[in-house]
Amino acid sequence: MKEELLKLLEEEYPEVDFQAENLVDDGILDSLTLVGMIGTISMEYGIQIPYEEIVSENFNSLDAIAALVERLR
Amino acid sequence: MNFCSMDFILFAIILAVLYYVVRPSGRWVVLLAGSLVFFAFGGWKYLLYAVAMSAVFFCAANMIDKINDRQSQLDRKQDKEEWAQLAGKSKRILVITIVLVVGNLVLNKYFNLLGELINNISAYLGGSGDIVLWDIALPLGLSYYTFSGLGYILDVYWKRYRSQRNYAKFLLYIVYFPHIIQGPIERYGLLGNQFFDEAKIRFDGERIRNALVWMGYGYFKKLFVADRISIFVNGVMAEPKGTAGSIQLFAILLSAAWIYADFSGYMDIAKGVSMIFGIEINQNFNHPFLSKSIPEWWRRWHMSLSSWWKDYIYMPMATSLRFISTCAKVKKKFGKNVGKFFKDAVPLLLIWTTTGLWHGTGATYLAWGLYFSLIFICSVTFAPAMTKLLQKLHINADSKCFHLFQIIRTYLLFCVGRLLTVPGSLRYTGSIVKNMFTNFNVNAIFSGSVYEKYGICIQELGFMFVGIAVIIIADCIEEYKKKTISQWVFDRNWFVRSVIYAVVIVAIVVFGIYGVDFSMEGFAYQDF
Repeated sequence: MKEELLKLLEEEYPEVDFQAENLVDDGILDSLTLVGMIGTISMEYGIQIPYEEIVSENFNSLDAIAALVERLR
Repeated sequence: MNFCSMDFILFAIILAVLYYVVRPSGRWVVLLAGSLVFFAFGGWKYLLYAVAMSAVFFCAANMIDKINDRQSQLDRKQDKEEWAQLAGKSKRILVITIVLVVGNLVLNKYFNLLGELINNISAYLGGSGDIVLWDIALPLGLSYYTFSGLGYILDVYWKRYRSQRNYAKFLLYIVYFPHIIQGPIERYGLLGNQFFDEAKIRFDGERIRNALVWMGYGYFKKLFVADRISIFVNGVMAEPKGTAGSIQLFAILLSAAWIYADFSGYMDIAKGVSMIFGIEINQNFNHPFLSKSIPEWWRRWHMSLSSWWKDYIYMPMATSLRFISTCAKVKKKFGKNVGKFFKDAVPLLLIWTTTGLWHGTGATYLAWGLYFSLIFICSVTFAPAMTKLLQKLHINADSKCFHLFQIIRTYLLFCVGRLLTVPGSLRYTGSIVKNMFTNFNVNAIFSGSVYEKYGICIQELGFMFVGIAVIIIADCIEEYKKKTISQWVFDRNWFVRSVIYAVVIVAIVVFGIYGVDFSMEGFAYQDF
């Protein structure tokens, strides 16, 4: 799951280092990239990410994003 | 009441004395009374308007919060039907409130524009064109408290915090005077509880000294720098014919410094005044002229508006199920690349068009919004290609030289946006662009008599540059030394500090621009 997600995101956003920690808190993911990423993930996995779930803890690392996707699938 | 008037200074002094005379638990009442008096100076009807609008936000948020309460007592899976019923009810209250308050804002801001448009069309078609236009100014602070109130309701709806059950306390959040004229747009979660935090609002001489430094710096930016530049920029723009292209270009480049000195000057005064009462307000500027790209610029400029737009419009819309389903359909029909472009571009286009229309009505602001949406879309679309290009050209994107290039490029791109709005019409913008190519006349920039024609002498021009240099140096200290300007001042020894205070006071009192008969120039963003 994690590898698959990494491949998907790296393909779409090659300029972002998704292996880093604190992706949101350190400003690696800006709001434009974050929004685009949410669209990509939702379309790929057929899930809806509720607005309440769009908080930094759920997008700060690849592990956190993978956990969120697993939970909403 | 203008922040630069003696009335305001007197008002702030009296309020501060009353505030600290009263015991801590009652200080919020003094602030509320003071804020209502501040509003009343603008006109009683505006005060009643704000009180009524606050009541709408207050009631709606409490109704939603009570529904949230009942929902939290249910099991989402077991009591599915009742849960969905409550969710629907809460959503209906939210939608009705949004329609009411946004409709009210739109009517106030755009009624005359729409009426004029319909009248013109009607007259063109031979009709009478009899829509009577409103002869009223936009209610004081309407945009700002509408946004603050909407954010509050949405946060309660999203269960980020509980609603305030005391109307007077909520009213203070809405009408708190330092942020009502031109922001910052405050979040209830950050501002709402500070008024009652007795540890924060106790008298602290050090904090008040800090506050006075911020106010002094704000007045310096406004009266010494911004109002001086505005004489020149307005003078140049008032002369569409016979002005050299080089002077027009210079005026546009300076207009960016003018809006920054004016708007951030106001924010420094507001921050300082609020600090006197122990209340921290949102940071609205984070040295935007040191940004390396336009998206970064808008994260540093009018931050409270940008983040409000991002959190309450852009992100909910761009991540909504309906929009993502549409993107999926576009992707399926037209392929992956078109799908990605659609997903990135449509929300940006909508957001920037509406941001443009919020800033002003008419084609200039529409063009301004489209211009910035285009830059955002390009920066998102071409980011991967740019990364590859820099690697291919062996350009170190982290080098100081490249950063300097990026900063200058961003400033110039922002100035193009100013070129669209400062002249006042797209036709005038077009004529300036044409003039830059056909009548540039670089020598005009070095001619003293040219500046006198536009209202400033060479000495004034010198003051203007000194002022701009002070702001740039202060911004660099804050950005690179990670020190606020007040901390930097307090770190100097008493002699240097005294000289700084004396110079700033002389710059404001003796060399400040006070307009004809001391009628103060209004702040640029106060009419939104």
